[in-house]
Amino acid sequence: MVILRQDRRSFRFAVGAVAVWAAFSLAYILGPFGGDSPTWIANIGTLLGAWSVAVLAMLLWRAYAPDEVGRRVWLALFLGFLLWAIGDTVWAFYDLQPGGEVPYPSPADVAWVAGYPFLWAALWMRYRSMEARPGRRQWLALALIVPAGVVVFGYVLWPILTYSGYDRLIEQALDALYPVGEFILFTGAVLVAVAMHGGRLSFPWRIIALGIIVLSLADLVFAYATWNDLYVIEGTPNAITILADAPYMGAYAAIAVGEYVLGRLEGAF
Amino acid sequence: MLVFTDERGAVVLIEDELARALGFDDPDDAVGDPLAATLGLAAAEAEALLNEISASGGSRYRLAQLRNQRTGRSWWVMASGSAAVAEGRFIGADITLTPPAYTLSADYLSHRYNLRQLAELVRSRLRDGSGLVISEEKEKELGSYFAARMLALYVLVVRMAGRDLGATLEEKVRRLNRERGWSMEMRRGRVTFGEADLPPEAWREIAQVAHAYAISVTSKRIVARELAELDVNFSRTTVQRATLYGLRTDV
Repeated sequence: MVILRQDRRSFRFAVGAVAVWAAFSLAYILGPFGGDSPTWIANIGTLLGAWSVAVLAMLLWRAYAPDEVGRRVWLALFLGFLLWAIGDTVWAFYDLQPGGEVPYPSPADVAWVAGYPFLWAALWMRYRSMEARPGRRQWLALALIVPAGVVVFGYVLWPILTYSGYDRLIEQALDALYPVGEFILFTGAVLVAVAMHGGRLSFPWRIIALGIIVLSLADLVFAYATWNDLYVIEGTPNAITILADAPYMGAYAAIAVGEYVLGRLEGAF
Repeated sequence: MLVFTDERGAVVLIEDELARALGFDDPDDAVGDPLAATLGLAAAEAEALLNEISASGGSRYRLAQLRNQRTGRSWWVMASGSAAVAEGRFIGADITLTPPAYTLSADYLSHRYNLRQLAELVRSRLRDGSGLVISEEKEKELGSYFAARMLALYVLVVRMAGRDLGATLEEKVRRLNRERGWSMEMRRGRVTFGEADLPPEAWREIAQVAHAYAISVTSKRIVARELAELDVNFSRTTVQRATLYGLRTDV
């Protein structure tokens, strides 16, 4: 938090990101422009967040020298976030067609799934480059991560894996892959943030980790809602749809703030 | 006398003499503690000093009462400080404590000046017989340069990435020394040399390892700037000799 007090540009960026997210979320919930407006607002808000995160990751990647670990880390993060932004764009394209159904799987899923390995690799490279020794904080983090993994496995993954009503294996595989992918990201982001505890760089990484955690939770809510046919694709969103979509936009806003603050610390912006 | 903190005000480095005056047998025992607890200041007073440094880049001279944590003896000093910055961002405070009668120059408010103090601190440690067995003055200066660089890298890593990673840096150096059979120790950033002479490749390789690690957890830009600011505190000849020996792995 100290850096937000000391660096006006970081502070302004953070306030701006929160304000934009709050405005989109409110507009999404209240739907001030009539019937389909929540769908439009959710998609525009998500695309704004997703592309901001991808562009900031690209700027960070380019700010490092070619032989730096940071360059490889941010190249991988850029490619991962770029693929996610493409996935969100394709989803929005289908979602905004009048009366259009989003196919499953769709080309959006291809982009989202392709993004995971880059993001996993980025967090792995970042963590490995620090060569952090297992300490009390690492064990504490693992003590939080393991129960979270048990919950994800027990309440999300196991029902998917044991459900016999799937028509196509690809749907079952995708349903299982998303929570697993998010959980790996969540673990990586937490470990990176914990390793840097007490240092100046820990704050932006904590914000990025927070964004990834919120993203993971939003995806889990989405998975749960679609599994139980509760997710509203068109029209006024219900509570569970809001719980999936508003945090999804907020997660991108948090990651963008983390990237910007990190860029300011590293002298990239 | 000098004390460095990280952005939260935890002590990262403290001058040996000051630590002893404050009742610490081992100066390293003070590392990691809050500034107020280490110096025996009131928490509000230490916070005000740190806030002023972080907000304005430096602090005016102020009277502060230090207290020996063991005996309870207290005495007055003039405290001033400057902000250590990386790419314009505050990463810690360099605090100078001097007797009240001492004439202070404006230099006391600059991070560069405090790096000079850091270099001087390392020189005095080596002069005071911490086991450096090298006879010539030039080599002593080179040893001071090496030790100052290692300490500056350690302080930078702790300030930017936390004490755990500072410990990792030390562990890497220790491991290298063990593998190669070199007699050098690094603890809380302080380098001490053993009985046996270090071969030239040892200095080079240790410097490379520390430099590469600092870059991998921060960035080349931040490390280069910090080391450039440290270099101005050494003579051109020393810096040239250090380059020749491969100690300046960044050039």
